[in-house]
Amino acid sequence: MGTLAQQLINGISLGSVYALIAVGYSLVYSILLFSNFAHGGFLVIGGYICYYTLTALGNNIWVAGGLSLLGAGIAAVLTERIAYKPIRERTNITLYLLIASLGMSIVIENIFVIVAGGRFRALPPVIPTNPVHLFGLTTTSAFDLLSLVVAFVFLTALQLFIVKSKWGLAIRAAAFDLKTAGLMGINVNMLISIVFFVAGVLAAVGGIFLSVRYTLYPQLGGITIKAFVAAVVGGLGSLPGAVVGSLILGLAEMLTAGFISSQLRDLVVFSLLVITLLVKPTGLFGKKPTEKV
Amino acid sequence: MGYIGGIIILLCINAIAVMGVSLLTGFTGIFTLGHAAYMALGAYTAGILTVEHGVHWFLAIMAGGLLAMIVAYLIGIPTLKLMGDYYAIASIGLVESIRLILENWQSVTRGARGYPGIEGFTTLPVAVAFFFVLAIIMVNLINSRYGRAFKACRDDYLAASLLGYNTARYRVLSLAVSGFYCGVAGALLAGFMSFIQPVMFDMMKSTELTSMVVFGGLGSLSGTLLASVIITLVTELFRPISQYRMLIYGGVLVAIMVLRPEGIMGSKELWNLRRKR
Amino acid sequence: MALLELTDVSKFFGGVKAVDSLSFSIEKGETLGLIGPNGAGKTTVFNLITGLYPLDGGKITFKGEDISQMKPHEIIPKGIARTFQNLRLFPRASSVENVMTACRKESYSFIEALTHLGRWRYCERNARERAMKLLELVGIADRAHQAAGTLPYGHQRKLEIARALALEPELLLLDEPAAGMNPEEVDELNALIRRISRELGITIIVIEHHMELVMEICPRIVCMNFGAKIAEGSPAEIQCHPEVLAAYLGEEV
Repeated sequence: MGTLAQQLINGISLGSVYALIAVGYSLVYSILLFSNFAHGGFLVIGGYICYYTLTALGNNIWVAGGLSLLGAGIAAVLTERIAYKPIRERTNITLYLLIASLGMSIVIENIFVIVAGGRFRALPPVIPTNPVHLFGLTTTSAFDLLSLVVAFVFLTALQLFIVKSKWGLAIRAAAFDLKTAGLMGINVNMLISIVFFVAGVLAAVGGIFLSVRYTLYPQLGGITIKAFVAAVVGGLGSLPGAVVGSLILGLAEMLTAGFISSQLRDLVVFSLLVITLLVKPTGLFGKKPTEKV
Repeated sequence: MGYIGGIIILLCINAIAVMGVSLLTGFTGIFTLGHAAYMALGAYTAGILTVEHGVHWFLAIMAGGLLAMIVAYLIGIPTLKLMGDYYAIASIGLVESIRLILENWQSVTRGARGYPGIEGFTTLPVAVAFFFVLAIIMVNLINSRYGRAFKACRDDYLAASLLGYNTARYRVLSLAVSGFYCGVAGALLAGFMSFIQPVMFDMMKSTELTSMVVFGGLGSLSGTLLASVIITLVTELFRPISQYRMLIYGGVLVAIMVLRPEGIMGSKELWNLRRKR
Repeated sequence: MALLELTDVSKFFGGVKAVDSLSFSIEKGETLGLIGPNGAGKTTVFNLITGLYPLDGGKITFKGEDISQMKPHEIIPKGIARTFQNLRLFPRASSVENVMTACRKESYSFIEALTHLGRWRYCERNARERAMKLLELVGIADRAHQAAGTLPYGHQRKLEIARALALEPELLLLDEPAAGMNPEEVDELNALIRRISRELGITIIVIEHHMELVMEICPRIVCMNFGAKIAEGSPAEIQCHPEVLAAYLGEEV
C-alpha cells in the first residue's frame, strides 16, 4: 500500500512537470499549427541558466529561477523571430517550420554540448529533497510535493491569464483562427512572441525540476518527446488535454518503473502513443481539423 | 580497400538510405524521422543472419531490407492515417522504441555494447552495384503512375482522393518501399563496419538523412543524391571537428528553410534541366 | 432509373443545417443547374455526393447503388468526377502531368512500374496522348508543359475540367467553373460544357452564379437556400419563382 501510494505521488509529480512542458508546446501548436521540436531546447536553456546562476551567484533559488525563466522566455522569442517568423511570413507550408524547428533544437542542444560539455551536472541542492511523511500513510520526498505545487501554481496562473486577460482572449481567438484574429486588429507578431515567451517560461520551470530529478546535461531536452506524447494523448492544441495526458503519462511511467521494470518505462510511454493513435488519433480532447473544400 | 574506396562505399550506402527518405518525405510529403529504425532493423538482421546462421550475405541483405519493409508496412497501416505533426512524433517514438528494444534484448542483439564480428561483405563492387540497381528502380518508380500518385498525395491529398486514389494505401506503399531501401542500406552498413551498435541508429542518423533530403530539394531525386554526396564528403573532411558537425547540421537546416526552402534543386531533376519547356 | 438520386439528404455541422432534407435526381445525359445564394449548401451537396462527408440523414444512390456510406476513393471509380470551387490543382506538376494523374484507366502493375517493362511504355504513352487530347479539348494544349501553379487563372479552371474528364466519368460535377472568368472565357466554357454533354454523353451538374450561363446550358435547375431546395424547374420557371427571387434579392418589406 505504501509503495502504491508512493508511486502514485511520484507519477503525479512527474506528470505535473511534464504538464508544464506539454502545455507550452500545445499552446504553440494551437496558434501556429505546427510542432515546435525546439521546445526541448527552451527546457535545457532554463536548466543551464539556473545551474550557472546558482553556482556563480550563490544559492538563491528565487534569483536563479527568475533569471532562468526570463532567459528561456527570451530565447524562445528569439528562436521564433530568427527561425520561424521569416518562414511563416513567406509560406503556410508547416513542413518548413517543422524542419526549421528540428534544426533549432539541434543547434541549441549542441551549443550546450560545446559550451558546457556533455557531463552530467547536479544542480546545487537548493530545492529540498528530504523525505516527508504524509498523513502517516506513506513517505514521499519534499521534491515531489514541491514540483507538484509549483506546477499547479504556474498552470493556474496560465489558466487565469488565458481566461481573464486581454491577451489571453487574443490567444483564444488566434487559436481558433489566426488569420481572422489578425484581421480583427490583433497584432499577430506580438501575440506569437507572447505565446513563445510563455512557452519558454513554462519549459524552464519544467527544466529546473527535471534537472534536479535527472541531473542536467545537454540532451535533457530529449525528454520533451514524452511531453509531445502527452500532448498527443491529451489532444494536440488542447491545454487541458495536455495536462491530463501528462498526468496519465507520469502515472504510467512511475507505476511501470515501480512495479514492472525500470527499463520498460519508456516503452510504456511509446505504447501509450501507439494506442492513442490507433484508438483515438485526435487524443482525448483534441479537435479534428476540418478542411474547407 | 583504401581510404577512397571506403568513402565511395559510404557514399553508396548513404545514397541508398537517402533515396528511401526522399521517396517518403520529398515525393510523398510524409515528414518522418523514423528511418534510422529501419536501417537498424536491416543491419541487425543481416548481421545476425550472416554471423549466427551462416546465411549468404546477399540473402542476408535482402532479408534485412524485407524485414524493414514488413515492419514499415505494419506500422504504417495504423499510423499513416495521421497527418503531419502527429506522424512525425510517432516516427520519433518509433526510432526510440526500436533503439530501446535493441539495447535491451541482449540475448539476440548483444545489447548496447554492440554486435561485432560481421563479415565484411560490403566491398566496393557490391556497394556500387546495389546503388546502381536501386537507383534505377527508384527513378523508374517515380516516373510511373505510382510516382504521380505519391506526388498527388503530397501536393493535395484531398484532391488525390477525389481522383479515386486510396491515399492511405499509397502512403503506406511509399513507407514500405522507403523502409526496404533503409533496411538494405543498414545491412550494407553492417557489412562495411563489421560492427553495429544501437547508438549508430539514433535520432542523429535520422536527422542526417532528413537534412540531406531537405538540402537537396524536397521532390528532387538528383538533388537528394547530390546533397548526400556533398554532406557525406563534408562530414569526412571535417571529422576532426566532429563535435561541431551536429551544430552545423542544425544551422544548415534552419538556414535552408529560412533562405531557400526548396533546397539545391527544388523539385527539378538534374537530368531534366536541359529539356526545353 | 435516374443516374443519381438524392433522397432526404441532410448534413449538420455543429448546430448548422448545411443541407436540409434535400431531394432531387438527375437522368443520364441531362445537364442540371444547382443555384442558390452563397452559403446555401451547394458545395456541401457535391461533397456529400463524392463521399467527403458522411451523411447525417437520407440516401444517395448512383446507378441504383447506395453510395451514402462510401469514401471518395470508392465512389469516384464508379464514374463520378468533380471540380473545385477553389481550384485544387497540383501546382508543381505540369498541365499534362496533372491530367495524367487522373488517367487511371491506363494501369499497370507495381513490378512493371519498377522495371519499366511490360505495359509501362504502352500505358504511359496512351495516357500522355489522352491527356494531350483533353488539353486540346479545353483549349490549353499550348501550355501543356507549364507548371500548373503558374498558369493564368482561366487556364487553371480549364485544366481542372480536363483533369476531371480524364477520369472518363458518367457524372461530372462542376463547382463554379466560370468563377473569375471574363465574358469571352465564359462563352468558351459554355461551348465546352455543351460539347461535353453532347459529344461525350456525360451527365453534368453545374453549380454557378453566372446566371446567363446557367439559364443557357441547363434545361433544368434546382435552387437551394439555407440547405433546402426551394425551387426546381426550367429556367423560365425559376426566373419568376417568388422564393428564388426572395432568396437572391431579399424580401420586399
